[in-house]
Amino acid sequence: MSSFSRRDFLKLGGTLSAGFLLGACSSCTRHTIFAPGQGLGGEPDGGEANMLGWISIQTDGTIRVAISSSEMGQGIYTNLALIVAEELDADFSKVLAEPAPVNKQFNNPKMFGGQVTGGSTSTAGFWTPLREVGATARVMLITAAAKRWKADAKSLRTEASVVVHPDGRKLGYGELALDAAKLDTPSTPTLKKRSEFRLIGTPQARLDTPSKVRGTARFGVDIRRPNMVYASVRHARAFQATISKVENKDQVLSMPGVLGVEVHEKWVAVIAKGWWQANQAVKALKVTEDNSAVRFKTTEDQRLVLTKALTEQGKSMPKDAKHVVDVEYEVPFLEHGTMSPMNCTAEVTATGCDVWVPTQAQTASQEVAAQAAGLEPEQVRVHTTYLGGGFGRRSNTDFVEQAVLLAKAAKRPVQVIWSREETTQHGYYRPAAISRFQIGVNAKGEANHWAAQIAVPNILLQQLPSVPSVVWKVAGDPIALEGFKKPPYASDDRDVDSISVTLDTPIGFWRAVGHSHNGFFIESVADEVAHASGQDPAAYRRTCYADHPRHLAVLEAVTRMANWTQKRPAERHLGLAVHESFGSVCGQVVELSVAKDKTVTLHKIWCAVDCGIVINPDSVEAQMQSGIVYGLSAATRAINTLKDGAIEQSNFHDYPAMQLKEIPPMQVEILDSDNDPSGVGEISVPPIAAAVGNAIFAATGERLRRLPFSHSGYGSWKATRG
Amino acid sequence: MTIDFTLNGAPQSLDVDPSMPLLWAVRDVLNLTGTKFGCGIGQCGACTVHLNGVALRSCSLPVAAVANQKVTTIEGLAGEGMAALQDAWIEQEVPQCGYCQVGQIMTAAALLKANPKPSEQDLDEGMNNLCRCGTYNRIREAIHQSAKTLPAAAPAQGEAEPTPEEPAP
Repeated sequence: MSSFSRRDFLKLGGTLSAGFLLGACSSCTRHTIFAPGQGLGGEPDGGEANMLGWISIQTDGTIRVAISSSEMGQGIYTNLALIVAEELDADFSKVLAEPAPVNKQFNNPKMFGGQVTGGSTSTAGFWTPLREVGATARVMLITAAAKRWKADAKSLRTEASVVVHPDGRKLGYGELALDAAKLDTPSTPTLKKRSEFRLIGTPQARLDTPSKVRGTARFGVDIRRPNMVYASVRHARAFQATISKVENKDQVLSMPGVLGVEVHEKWVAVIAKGWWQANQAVKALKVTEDNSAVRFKTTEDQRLVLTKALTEQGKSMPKDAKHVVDVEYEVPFLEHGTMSPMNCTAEVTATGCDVWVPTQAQTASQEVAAQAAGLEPEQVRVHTTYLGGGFGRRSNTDFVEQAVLLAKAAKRPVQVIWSREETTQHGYYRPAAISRFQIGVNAKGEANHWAAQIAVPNILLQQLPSVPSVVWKVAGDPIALEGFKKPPYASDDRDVDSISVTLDTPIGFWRAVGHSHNGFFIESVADEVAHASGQDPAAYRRTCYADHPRHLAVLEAVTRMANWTQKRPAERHLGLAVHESFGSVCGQVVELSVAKDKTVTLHKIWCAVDCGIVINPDSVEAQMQSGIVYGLSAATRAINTLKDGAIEQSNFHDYPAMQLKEIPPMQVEILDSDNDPSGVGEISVPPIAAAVGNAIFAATGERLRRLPFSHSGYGSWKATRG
Repeated sequence: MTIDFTLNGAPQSLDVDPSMPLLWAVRDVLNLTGTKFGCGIGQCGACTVHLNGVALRSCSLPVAAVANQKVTTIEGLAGEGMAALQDAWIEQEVPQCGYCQVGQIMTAAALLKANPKPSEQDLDEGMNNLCRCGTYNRIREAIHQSAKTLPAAAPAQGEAEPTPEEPAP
């Protein structure tokens, strides 16, 4: 059962004219029914912004489901709507997903601290609550039909949005909505058995696909408000720098279309009639910056701190080992590279504030906007748009604060959009990390001595400033240690430490977070152990997975798919990795060949996954492909380096991502499971760099321990179609 | 200065700075928001539109360059006989976040007009838009699927580079 009390969150709304609403707020007194076309979150001019409810059934049979989680490509609107529709026995073609407003009832049960999309928790978190919402509404519709027909409710059944009488009569949900709305909310309904699922587990068309194909989907930058103007920002170049002087404000104010120049401690902005004019003008500002607080000038400065921390911690070398693996691994800082630059639209009045924002953090956005506007959080309405990529970056709210401050200054709606350069150079980066391993392998090929240390900045220390830092001193850094602390290869008396360092580059949640580097470290090291002791990498893992049945099943599936033991052309080599993250296990095999000039050609990638019960298999397949491509960009060539205290890379030309021609065919297999759903959106990122690196080792004998691989001369990547 | 051109089949007049990129004229002045801003330097392709049937990156194309030319954005694509491409895109469930997809579709549409039966290598060379969600393999499938249904005799406009007229002084 979820952390909600079901009684608290299921409350039936009354009805005026159009249908009924299952609400969730016990103190909510407004039970207005939505007019068709109004969002559950509502538009501010519709007067329904604080309407609360999980579902609304209209008399025309349309079923509108409030979605707490942000749609950033993972298919969550469709997933959560499917969960409701399954238990409701709804005709899914009549179901609409709509972004929920900010309210406690919509908090993610698996994420402490509010309405947040992250940690691959959305499906897992809302699985039980939304099943109960759907099942409760279904019981009420059946009860309404039974009253209408003067029949025994137990004799009635439902199918695709209709209640069916034993004699064959039918009543549509829309026809029953008004009656159902007058009933008391029943006690805990019976949920379907898995064998009764009609929608869950079969491929479903995503609700957001048509609008994204036709160009009508509304992203943050597509919001248009009456009288709205645009802003472009420029931050002090170095992370610790501040703005000390702007010389030519008047000159810039006279540029075409420019309406205002705003100077803040760490950024300047120009407000103009159009974004292009704003951006031309902000680039024209002559800004003097104070760099006196800049401590780290270069990436080498930061690496020295990481290395020093590890050296101070010391190694724990094995005694009497037959083989010793004593190695160091490293990853760089990485910006998220969302396709849509950071943006937010805000409108502020004396009594309220509206923000339209592609955000992963609605509650935090509301709080930040309230503070910037000088209002109470309840006076801020957050309208979540589609996200043009999230990957963790949009769990920060820096752009929300800016939009509200600028809208307040402009006294009219302002849409702030960052340039790609600002987006690349002022992110919350996946931290750089260096990790050392000292592993002793005995004559039986067992790693019976396992010591590992990781030096990395602590993301939670920065992202959750309200938590006293002593907590992390006592508990360790949970993100540094995720996927690192208890690898299936390590002995029980392993010696694993994380060391938190401060490097001043802002850090944050990046797709798979700690797993994004630890999957690379651990799965590469496992390969090293196998090779050091003369074992086949798959056979070695099989031995280690004796007490890890899910790992074992994934390993067997992915090696079967790839024909692991089959002889193949001499130039083609395989690499394998299996990693558990966010409650799921994902295994990958890469087939590649390496030319003499170190050009790598990817031929095929196989991926097997156990992520519990699958809602929409088509979306899971898409997410596996997505994480692999995202992880390949990081593995092959993505790196953010520091120069003069600022990020050197500025745009896609020097911070490149994988292209279509570099991606080989990918085959995905989803393992059957009766377990509740677990994470999907991030889990295919962690294994891929190791799978590629292990294959390059198989091909060349060169072990790559530092990302990106371009650092070791593997900068040219190609693909074949199998 | 007034710039006259054809937008999605209809005459359009714009009174803007001639050096304003077409992207911002379309998005901020004409409020056609399907075309997206991604990088501003012609790298990512999120802003791809057609100029006389050829895919071009509108973030790097001054609006003056389209005077008296034909511009098509995603809003006008279905009217140009490319609905089957969008249908294939939907059937293959290509989009994830969706932000780059309009640009991908515009690039694919121009490619198909010039080359109705593209090979895998043609896609390698012609589909150079970025997608950070990694929808590439489904993009391939959608293009191949639509190549089967689109008429092979589609007029191959824009095999040559367009020669925009000089903007009027």
